Amino acid sequence: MKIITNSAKETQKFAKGFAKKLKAGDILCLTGSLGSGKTTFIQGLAKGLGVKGKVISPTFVLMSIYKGRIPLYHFDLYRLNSTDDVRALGYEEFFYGDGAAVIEWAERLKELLPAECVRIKIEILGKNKRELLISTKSLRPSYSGRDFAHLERMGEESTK
Amino acid sequence: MLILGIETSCDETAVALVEDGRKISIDLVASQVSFHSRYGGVIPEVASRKQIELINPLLREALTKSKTKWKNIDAVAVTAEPGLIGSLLVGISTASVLSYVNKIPLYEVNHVESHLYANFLANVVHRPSGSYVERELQMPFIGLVASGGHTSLFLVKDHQHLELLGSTRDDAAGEAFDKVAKLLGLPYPGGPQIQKYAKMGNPEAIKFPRPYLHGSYDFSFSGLKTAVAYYLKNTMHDGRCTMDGKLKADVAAGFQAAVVDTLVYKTVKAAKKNGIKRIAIGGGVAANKALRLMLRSETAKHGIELFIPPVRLCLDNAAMVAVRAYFKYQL
Repeated sequence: MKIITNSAKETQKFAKGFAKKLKAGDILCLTGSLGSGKTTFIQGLAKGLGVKGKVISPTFVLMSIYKGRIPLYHFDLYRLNSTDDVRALGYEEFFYGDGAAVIEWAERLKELLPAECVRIKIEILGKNKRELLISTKSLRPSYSGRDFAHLERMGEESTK
Repeated sequence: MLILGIETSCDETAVALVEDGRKISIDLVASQVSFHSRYGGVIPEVASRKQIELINPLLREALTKSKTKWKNIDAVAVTAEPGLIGSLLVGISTASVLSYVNKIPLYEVNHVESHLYANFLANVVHRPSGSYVERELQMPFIGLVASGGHTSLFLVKDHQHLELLGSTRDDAAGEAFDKVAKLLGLPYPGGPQIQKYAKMGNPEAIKFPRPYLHGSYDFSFSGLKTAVAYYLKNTMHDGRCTMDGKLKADVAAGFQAAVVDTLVYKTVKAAKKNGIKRIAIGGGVAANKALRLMLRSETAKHGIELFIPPVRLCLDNAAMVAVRAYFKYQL
């Protein structure tokens, strides 16, 4: 699905709606260049999960945990270059667990990218205009039976 | 009262001995910057592993060089938060063991608060008149800590109560420097690089937005970073410009001016609104020359006394940790 937003506020509003249907164990992988609005999206997502307080860029600390309706595990892999560094982080403890994991700079995961994840690619179209490309299809054949049916079409619903 | 300070919250390993919260006996920092620059940043796992290797030799060096015996050390102070968990653990474990073995008390301090206490080590004050005097920082004061991980504004009334007036809502000021440096193809850490290029550029050439967030003491530097990214994307896309030295210099100058304007505006405003006549700053971004210069002129204009640590004490160090513990726990 493809969503166009015209401001940071609109991106957050969409993410807030998106969060309503998130289930424990869901993984969202965000990609997009510096300044495309990945943290902005996650700030909206946190609001939708009922997280109180500030959600700031975890570039410095690599990962933050927020308490919401379900826990939100916010990763930022910006500083990591090799998958060995990602492994050293112990990220997998937070995947498919009791909360939703959301990963900025998910392309740095490379082969560690989970087969079942929602991929969100943010493109800069204009000064404040962004395109969000959301794909819920599994990357590889999946045997776990996990699917994202609960997340499909919700983009259209939340922008209504 | 001789306090041993230990600091390992991020990528530095630091040990210091401070007498009565003011006089440095020794202050050692084993920097990993050159090591981490290969990665374009701090890798937590790598940082803490390196710290384990460095901490014991550094402690030995501190005691030998300052000719100090363990029996002369009265207390241990350590950074307990905030920071990278693995890194903090190295310092806290070391400090706990030293406290236990030498039967001396252990005090925990907050890293961000400690940055402001570097000012007690540097007693040179820039008076509004422009003269330099030796004077100690007095309460109350407005404190600004700006670094790679933090941007926080405090109202400090006494050593126990550091009231947080505002902090960043997205990126820290130093993080913005690092990310804009990356956009310009400059190496990590970004602060000194941006400063170097900014000196050759025209800060008026490109007007980047000032994220003042009126009505709040919070900061926001993410939008400024986005503005730089968008500006570069646009100018390069049109083919009007290539990423040459002049473009880098002008973008660096324009960006630095926007960060400095914002930090100075909010800090001075906090002082004026709260009727406070003193400002103290700390953190890696406080090493930025443009920020130091503008703070000096703006505080002078408003009759505010300014306290800035020397550059080496703006960066992470353990002396500030010992000082913070000395005042916080009234040792």
